Amino acid sequence: MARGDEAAFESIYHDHQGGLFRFAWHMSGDRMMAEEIVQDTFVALLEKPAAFDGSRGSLSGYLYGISRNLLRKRLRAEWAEEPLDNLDAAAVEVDPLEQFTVESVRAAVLSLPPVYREAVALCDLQEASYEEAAAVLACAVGTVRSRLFRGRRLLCSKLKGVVRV
Amino acid sequence: MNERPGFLAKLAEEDRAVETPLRVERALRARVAAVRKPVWWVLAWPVAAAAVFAVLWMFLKVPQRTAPVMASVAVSAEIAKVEPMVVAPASRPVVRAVVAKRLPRVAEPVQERITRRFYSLAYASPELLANSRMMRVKVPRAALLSFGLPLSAYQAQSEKVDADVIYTEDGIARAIRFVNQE
Repeated sequence: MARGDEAAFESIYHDHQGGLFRFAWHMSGDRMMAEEIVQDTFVALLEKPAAFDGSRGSLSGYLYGISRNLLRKRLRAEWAEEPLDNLDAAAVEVDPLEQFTVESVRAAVLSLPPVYREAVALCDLQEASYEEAAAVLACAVGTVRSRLFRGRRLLCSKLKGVVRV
Repeated sequence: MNERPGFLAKLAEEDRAVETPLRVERALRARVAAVRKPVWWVLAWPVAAAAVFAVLWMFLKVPQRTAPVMASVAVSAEIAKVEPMVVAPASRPVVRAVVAKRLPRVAEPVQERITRRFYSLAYASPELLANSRMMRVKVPRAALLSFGLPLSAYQAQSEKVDADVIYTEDGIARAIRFVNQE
């Protein structure tokens, strides 16, 4: 790919573009921004292919890491909005049988603080394992589990009172 | 809350088919092509230079291909001058040229052509001439006439004239050159 091998690019692009786009979209709520994030992620890979070290992790994790860094730059203000310590989700349980519109859930995800949102986006929406998410988020697996737990609880509390289908 | 809530699974399922718009792929493909182009040019220049060199080498080397064979023997420089007989009398067999290809001939005086040029007597391949020897002999004056050469005043006064004859290993005289004794 570094030498302009289109077949290599095509293979890598088609394997990862969908997940990267959805991750960027779930994080930003903006399709245009998600497009730019995907494009910039692959441009970064094209320009500095040597920066990827296969012994340190998977290519997928590397690409998600680039996307996350790009998102953090774009959403800098939002990222710094709320300190983690001030957040404590209320212990609201949601009935599994309760149905919410997809758009309401999407809006609720977008309203999560970024640190919880990215855990939910990776583990629940991208179906990444805790280990994969930890590699992308550059944190311990326990931290991922904790953020995911809090994120889910926050979501439930936000969805309570939302119009049901 | 350790399990993924159903509403998140539903959202994941709903978005599973969402992919990056094609315009992003097109833009990236153009970028990949731009990366490839310099590599192509880097390779193209040496290949083009090699091709030009090969063509030039073919044009310059092919006409001179017989010369290196003769250059290894003592008389090679002389043999290279062998040329076909100018005029052949009806009584003599036609002598074939030893050297197949020659550079364009430069006009030179008749006398100089007589004394510096070899005239072939029998067919000889360049390989045969490569192992030949040259010998100074006296030949009848009429020999000049048989090659269609004019007689000069000094030659007319003598019965015989000197000539250099090239013999190949099989003992056959292959070429002759008349020597100016003035």
